[in-house]
Amino acid sequence: MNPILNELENKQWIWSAAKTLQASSEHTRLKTGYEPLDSALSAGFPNAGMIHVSSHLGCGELRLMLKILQHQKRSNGHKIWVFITPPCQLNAEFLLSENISLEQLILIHPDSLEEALWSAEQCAKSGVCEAVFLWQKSLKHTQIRKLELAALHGASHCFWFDSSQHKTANLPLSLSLSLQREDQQLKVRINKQKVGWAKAPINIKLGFKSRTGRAFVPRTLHKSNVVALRNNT
Amino acid sequence: MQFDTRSLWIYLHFTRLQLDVIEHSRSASLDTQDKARAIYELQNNQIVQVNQTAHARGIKVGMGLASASLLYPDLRLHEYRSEVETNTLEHLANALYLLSSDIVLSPPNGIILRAQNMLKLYGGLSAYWQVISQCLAKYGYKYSSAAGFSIQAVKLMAKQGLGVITKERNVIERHLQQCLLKYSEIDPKDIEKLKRIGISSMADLKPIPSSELANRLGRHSLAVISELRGQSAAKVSFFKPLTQYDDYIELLYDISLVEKLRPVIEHALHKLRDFLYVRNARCLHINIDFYQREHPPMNIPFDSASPIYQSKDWLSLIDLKLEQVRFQSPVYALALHCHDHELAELHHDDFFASKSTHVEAMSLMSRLISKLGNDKVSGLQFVEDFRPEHSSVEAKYAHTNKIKNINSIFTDRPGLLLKEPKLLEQKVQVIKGPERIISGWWDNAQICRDYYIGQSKSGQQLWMFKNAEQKWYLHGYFV
Repeated sequence: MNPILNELENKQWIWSAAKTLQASSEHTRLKTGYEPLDSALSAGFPNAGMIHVSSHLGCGELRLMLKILQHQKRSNGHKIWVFITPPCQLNAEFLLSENISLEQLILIHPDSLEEALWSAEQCAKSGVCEAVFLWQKSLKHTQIRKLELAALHGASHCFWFDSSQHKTANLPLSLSLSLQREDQQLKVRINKQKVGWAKAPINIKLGFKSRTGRAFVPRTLHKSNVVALRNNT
Repeated sequence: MQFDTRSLWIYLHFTRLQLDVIEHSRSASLDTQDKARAIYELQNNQIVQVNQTAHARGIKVGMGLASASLLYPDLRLHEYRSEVETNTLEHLANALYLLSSDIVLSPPNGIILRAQNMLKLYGGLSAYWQVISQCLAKYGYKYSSAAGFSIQAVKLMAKQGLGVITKERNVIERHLQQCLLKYSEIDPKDIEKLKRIGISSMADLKPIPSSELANRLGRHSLAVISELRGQSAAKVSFFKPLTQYDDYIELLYDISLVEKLRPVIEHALHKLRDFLYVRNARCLHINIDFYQREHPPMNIPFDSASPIYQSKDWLSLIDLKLEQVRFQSPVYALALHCHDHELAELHHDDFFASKSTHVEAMSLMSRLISKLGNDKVSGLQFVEDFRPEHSSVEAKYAHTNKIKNINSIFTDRPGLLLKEPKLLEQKVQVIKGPERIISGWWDNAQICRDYYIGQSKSGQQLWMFKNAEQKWYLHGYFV
């Protein structure tokens, strides 16, 4: 092979289509549980790696990721979930309802970006973490590369939530998604994936567990409180 | 405890213990080897220990400082410190305790072993002595030994270097008779008195009955002589191995760089590992004091989330913590303390079971805590309270404490809660609600709120409430 091409491939800046098929076989991908999303992502999420999620805070980004991670039971359920610098306090009630045991949870409040990245890397690399969730404004190329390698090494997912909305240039991520909520639907745009082209945005339904949207309809009173048990005799 | 005069004792006399300790700690650096070296006692102004090279130069034990330095000006002198020897003795006794049950320390440089009750176990004196001498050979300290049936007699023989390891009474007796009284523990004044009447060795002393000696000698000397003759037995108390671990290492030169200190710490941890290993123990917490030349000692505690004993495990934790440490002035010594250790648990799990994840998780926790500090790493606890701001409590991470069957009864709670609810400032469409929470009348944090789920123009799903004054607040995000 051309040495320049070889070098580019080593740096993972280019990929060959032959490897795509191999990489996207069903065993190496994590099914999301949403048919259209699976097909757009060449059979699902990567099994490990760093995933960038760009969205407004609070449009269901964490819920979607937890749902996808728990769709396929991969581990024995003893792995740890790590949350680093969440923008405000995590709610234990929410995590319990998402079937995350509080024993398997670590919260980290580092003082600086270096400490945050260090702890994210350590957790992702350790092999005992199901996922590492990191809230950060912007990360540099090398920092992302480090985390990506750590996540691949530890076979875990490292999620980077970013609400700053600016375009990410070609970063060494496994996957980059933009989420945008439109009423009950969540529009998922794939900015970058390692083994395939970016495709058209996909709409996903991510609602609440109880029924919503009907709360403020005032109940119209029936004319009579008496309702016939049987109409026809 | 008092023993009859029939038990067999072995005395180990370490002739140049402090010198050996110094030379062994320096053996790594080649340039300091084969230098003439001596230990000097300040109080009596005499040389007490010399090494081979110094001996070849004509320097002898008992010399004064002036004559020694005249003989060989390049002589390296170290001040005699009995606590160094006593500490080393304790260390040796700890090692010997694994082989022999009854040990008496005779500071500053002697160890007495009661061999009698070990003979049956090892099947004879020669087998027992072989095991003991192998153990001592590991340390490489020079010693002379003697076996006999009274403690005073074995001390005397070993100090004079006339000892043999045997249990034949007549052989021991023959050797003992050659010994000079000046090496015994008889009062020096009484030795002088005996010398004046022509008694200087055990053989001279033999024909004289005790009743005649009683008129001339003090009570202490008489007791010693009666022991030497095998007429009475000594009272001794046995060494008990320590349950706590304390180690003090003096550095050869002052060190201010943390990286330079690492090999020393590693050495100390190896010793700790050996201590814990023979006790089948693990520890969770160790303390290291760094003695600084011009500042008070810096005490740094190290914690591990799971009990460990391996020096490399401790070293990786210590490395992380020391990254942030800067010494104010050079360090001249360090002390390692481990006051609590626990028995290692046996695991009967499957090889393929998930136990390795637990161990890994604990080591990850230790790593995080030692780098970031205890307050930045936490876990989350659920408290059964209807008030949302009280139901989640950040607490110390507890992997081992099983929290059983706690389940939230409400669905659709936001993932993130604001620490303090803030006034709602944007236009929001209500999509679910209300859910009324009135609670907390018992602790002065009463709330009376109607909670709604709302969605903003940009697609953010918010948890908000209206309080009794009809004011709208934002309280959380449905991430």
